[in-house]
Amino acid sequence: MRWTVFLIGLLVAGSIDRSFMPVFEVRGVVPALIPALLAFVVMHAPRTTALWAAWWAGLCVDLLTPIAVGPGALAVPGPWALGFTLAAWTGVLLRGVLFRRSPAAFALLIFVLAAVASLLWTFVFAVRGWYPQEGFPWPGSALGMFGTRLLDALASGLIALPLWWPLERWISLWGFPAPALRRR
Amino acid sequence: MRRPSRALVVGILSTACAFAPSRFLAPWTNDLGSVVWIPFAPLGFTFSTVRVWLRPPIADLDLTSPVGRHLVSERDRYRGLWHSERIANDELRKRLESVSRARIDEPELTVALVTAPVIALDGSARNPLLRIGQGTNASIQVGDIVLYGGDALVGRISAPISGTSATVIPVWSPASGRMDARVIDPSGGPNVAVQVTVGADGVMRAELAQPIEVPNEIEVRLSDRAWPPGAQGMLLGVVKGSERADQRPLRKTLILEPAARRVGLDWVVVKTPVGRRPV
Repeated sequence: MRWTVFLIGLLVAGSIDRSFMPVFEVRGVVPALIPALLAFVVMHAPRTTALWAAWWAGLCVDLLTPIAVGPGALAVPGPWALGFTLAAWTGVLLRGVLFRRSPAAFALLIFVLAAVASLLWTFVFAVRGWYPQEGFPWPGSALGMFGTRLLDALASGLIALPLWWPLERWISLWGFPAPALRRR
Repeated sequence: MRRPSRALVVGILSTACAFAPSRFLAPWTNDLGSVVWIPFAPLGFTFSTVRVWLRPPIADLDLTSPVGRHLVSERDRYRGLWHSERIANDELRKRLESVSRARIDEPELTVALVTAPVIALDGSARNPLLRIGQGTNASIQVGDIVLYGGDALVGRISAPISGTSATVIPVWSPASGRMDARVIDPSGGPNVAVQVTVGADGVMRAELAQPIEVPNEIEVRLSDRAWPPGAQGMLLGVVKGSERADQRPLRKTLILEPAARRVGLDWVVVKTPVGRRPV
């Protein structure tokens, strides 16, 4: 995989997620594009490359989205980085049973990746919530928060459907190896 | 010995950071986040502008909710505090201006300046009196002169006077009697002497001894030996018109508006001789 193309994709997706995607917000549910980028990489890149790409993307999201912790906001590096890495691992395991040339499979993979990453993110902050003087960064229960994140994941899968065609069209730019060669 | 793989190190570090208490992260992660945002910022700004254009933010705070009610009460409280501070500031500024202007008018100051609030308008419409909130405790005595804005003559202190309040006979009261004054022409014309009286109708008039034209808004200042030195040259009023008496049609009478009456009197300055001790 060409890392330059991935970085440009991350730059564009990260900027849109943070600055533009709230335009699609419905009752607190906001879709995101980074899971779509990650799903595309997981679908086509070798396993190690996909995991590293997921870790870098997660770290960027962690640092770019401070969370209300205690009296202020804090960027916690780790929860999304670990979550996306775990999600990418799940995706790598699943991609063998997915039909790569299908936009529906692409959307399903986005949903699965975002859901797995959200599960780990919620777990990390649920644990941190028990620390003295920190508290939970959400108003209700952890389960409620995970529910909202699942809806985010669903919205991300739906909104990324139209992206499948341009990504597939310019797949050669990414320099992915042929499926038979992408073991490592 | 085998070196630990990069993935293992990164995994351990990520887990450690994810579960590290905020006090370890706060000093550096927000700054690091700001640095990471730099390459995202140009595109982010553009997309933000488009987002605001497409979907302007709307205030969705419910003011009847507990949070909304709390915010409204806090807003009102601080708004009230702000207004009261502003009023207090305005009063202090006026007092300061009055005192500083009085000092400029009398550089070789032989009097002490006492600021006093106007607390009541006593007397009748035909014989108005003012009550001020300073008295003999502040060395004020009968006969002291009272100014507004450092320049406009309000009147003289009169009995009754107590430790904390005093009565002022304003210059627009008939009780002030006749006052010698001068019409001051700012264009350099002759300063004409006049006698100022206040009629039973409460109108302040100045009789001109010479048949000259005096335009409106010209100042008339006190020049009367019967008044203390600190009152000399103080502004009595401004010309608002003229009339001719039926008995003396060749003499013109100026109608004056008392200068101190043109403003809402709230604070005045009393000139008291230096060295006088409180009674």
